[in-house]
Amino acid sequence: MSELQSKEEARKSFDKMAKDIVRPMQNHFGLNAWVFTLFLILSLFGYAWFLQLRDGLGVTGLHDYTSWGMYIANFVFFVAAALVGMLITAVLGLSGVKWITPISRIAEIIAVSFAMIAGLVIVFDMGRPDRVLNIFFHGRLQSPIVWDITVVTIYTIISMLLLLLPLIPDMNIIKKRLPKASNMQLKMYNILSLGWMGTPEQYKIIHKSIRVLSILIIPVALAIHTVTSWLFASTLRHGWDSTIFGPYFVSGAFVSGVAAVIIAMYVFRTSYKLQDYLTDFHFDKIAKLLVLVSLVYFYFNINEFLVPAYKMKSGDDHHILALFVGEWAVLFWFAQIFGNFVPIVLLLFKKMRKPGPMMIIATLAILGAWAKRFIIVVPTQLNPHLPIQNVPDSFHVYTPTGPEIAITIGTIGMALTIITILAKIFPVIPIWEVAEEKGIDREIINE
Amino acid sequence: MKENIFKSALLAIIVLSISFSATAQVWEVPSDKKEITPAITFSMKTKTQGKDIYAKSCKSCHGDIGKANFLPLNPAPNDPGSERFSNQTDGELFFKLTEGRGGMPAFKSQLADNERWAVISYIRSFHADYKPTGGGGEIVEESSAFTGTNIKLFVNKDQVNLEITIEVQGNVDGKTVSAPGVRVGFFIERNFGLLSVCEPVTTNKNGIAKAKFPGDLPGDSLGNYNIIIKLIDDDLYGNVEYKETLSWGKAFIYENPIEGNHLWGNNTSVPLWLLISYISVVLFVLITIGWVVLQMLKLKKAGIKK
Repeated sequence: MSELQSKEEARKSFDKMAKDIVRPMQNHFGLNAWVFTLFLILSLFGYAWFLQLRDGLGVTGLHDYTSWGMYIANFVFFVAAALVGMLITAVLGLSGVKWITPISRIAEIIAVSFAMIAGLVIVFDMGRPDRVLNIFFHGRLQSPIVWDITVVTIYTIISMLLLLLPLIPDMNIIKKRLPKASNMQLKMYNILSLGWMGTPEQYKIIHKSIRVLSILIIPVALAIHTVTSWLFASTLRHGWDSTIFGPYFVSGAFVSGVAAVIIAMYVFRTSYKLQDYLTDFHFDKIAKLLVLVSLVYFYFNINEFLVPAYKMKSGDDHHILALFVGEWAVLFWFAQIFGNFVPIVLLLFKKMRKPGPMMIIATLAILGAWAKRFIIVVPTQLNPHLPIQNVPDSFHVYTPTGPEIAITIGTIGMALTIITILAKIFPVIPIWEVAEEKGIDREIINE
Repeated sequence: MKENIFKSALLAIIVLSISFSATAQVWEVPSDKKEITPAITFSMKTKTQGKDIYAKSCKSCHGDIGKANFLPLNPAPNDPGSERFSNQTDGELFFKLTEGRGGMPAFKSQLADNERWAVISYIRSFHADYKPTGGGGEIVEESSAFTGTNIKLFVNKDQVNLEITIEVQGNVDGKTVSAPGVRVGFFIERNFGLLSVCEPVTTNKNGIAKAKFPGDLPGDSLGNYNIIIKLIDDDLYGNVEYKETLSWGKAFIYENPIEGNHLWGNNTSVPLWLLISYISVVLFVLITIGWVVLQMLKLKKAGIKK
């Protein structure tokens, strides 16, 4: 788009673009059905949480041995997928990759919602949510749990800023193009646009702030998931006692994060009719990104499982055999094959790097990623150093119960609700950045 | 002929398996082993030797003989002073001690024949009706054991060589004399019992026994520890002991592993390096975030100016 356009043509094309992106914020086919579905999920969650608050954690399948179950697996999953904000905006953005421009807001929306829910999941994991305050009154700075709370909070704040900052010029654009918007909504846009006029000084400030935050979020994001991995790796337990858990978790996070972005891209592309902005080209590129991060993750999986399997240290052997051929084999191989192997192999073919097939592959990858977190969290606890004995038979296994599953699905529903709301009040594609890339004059953008 | 061999073999197997299952219930001793008689002559000396061995190897399960304070195991170890034991022949006891069964270890590899017989001689000293069998099984009171009463210990300390010389005296026929042949134990009091400084020492003909204390034993923070010198055969002489605090040990300063700033400490004793790292990293990030928020305010001002 480097050719010079006449001013009028540029204005027309910018108008069309802004209209296309803003339109679904007010007219959106199937929204009611979707909101109703979310409402059902959240109601079910509310009832399940009520049961858990009333009767305690006894309503879950958690017990003395498996005290971290589906909730913590879910927590790790949310933290993992939230890292994609950092990967897209910071790593790729700072290295000047152009094709991420229309995707970056989707990535940030996912990062914000998933990071927020990750923090909430911990509260749902507690039988007495009020005790979350104990971490502030009695928390030990020596404990990775305190570090985890710190970084999750900070990551959420930075992700929110990284969502809001690039929205500032867009606020200015959309507030003139939303005829149905309520006064309150317009007021919010007004506040959030921070008096954006598009002056060179403002451009300078906004670019500088985004760049600083993009740099800052890289170590913070690495920290959030490394610390999450340390919740496990700083113990001596079979399967958790690993030195590569940090990078292993981070690389896995990128796989689930990119898969989540692909699903979101597909959904917004079809339901918001953004085919002109989230094109096959973008899907092709992000498919290649998924292959890359999956390959890195594959490499870490080989290290994480084949090296201990080669040694078969006593104690570790039980764990590894239970995963490879034992009671966890189905879930383990599902996670490995669909969460890692399939994306690598299938996306090497050009035919597969199209929105439709990618949607299916990414969904499988997300399911695999979720299963993988379960595989990391649960089996180790059922293989303690001292044998499980003199306890009820039910303590030898972990079976999530109905309320537990309902609460877990509820948290996914919450994340989707936040994404839905954010995508209704904000444009899912950064209009001003895409326009600038197309060579449209700043004057037209800020008119 | 062949058939007969086969039949007799089968019979043998049946008989063996029946007898085997019987041993699982009652501890049968082969009759030839039952008849074995002691290979040593029981005496005060063998009894004393047996007592020491019993204290080391048997007491942990069988308890103090005569007090029935054996461990509640299954099958029960039982009290060797009980009828259960006194009704058995010397040969039976010896066989069981030698071969062991289930929880009872086989002592044939740990104790020599004479030592095992010494243990039996000690056990037999509790069996009032015991009649010596065969050639040797008779308890001979040895004249070498001192038989006086009102035993007293006189202690001499050599501070330089960390050596203690004791003289044992007792009353014989109203006269105070030196007590030869008395076994004396030298101990240091520790948290959970007495630590033997050396093997028990028997007093010489002048009633004197010596023991050298090692110089590197940990004492309290000043190097003090309590020594206890006592007669081993308290069943003969009553409980005679001497106690004193000496500063012969090495000063031992106990460091509580929980005190101080450690990773395993509580929230008030954070290691300094961790506190500094945490605060500086979090502060750096928060200040940067604060800077960005300031930039946003600046952005607003820049718009108003125009």
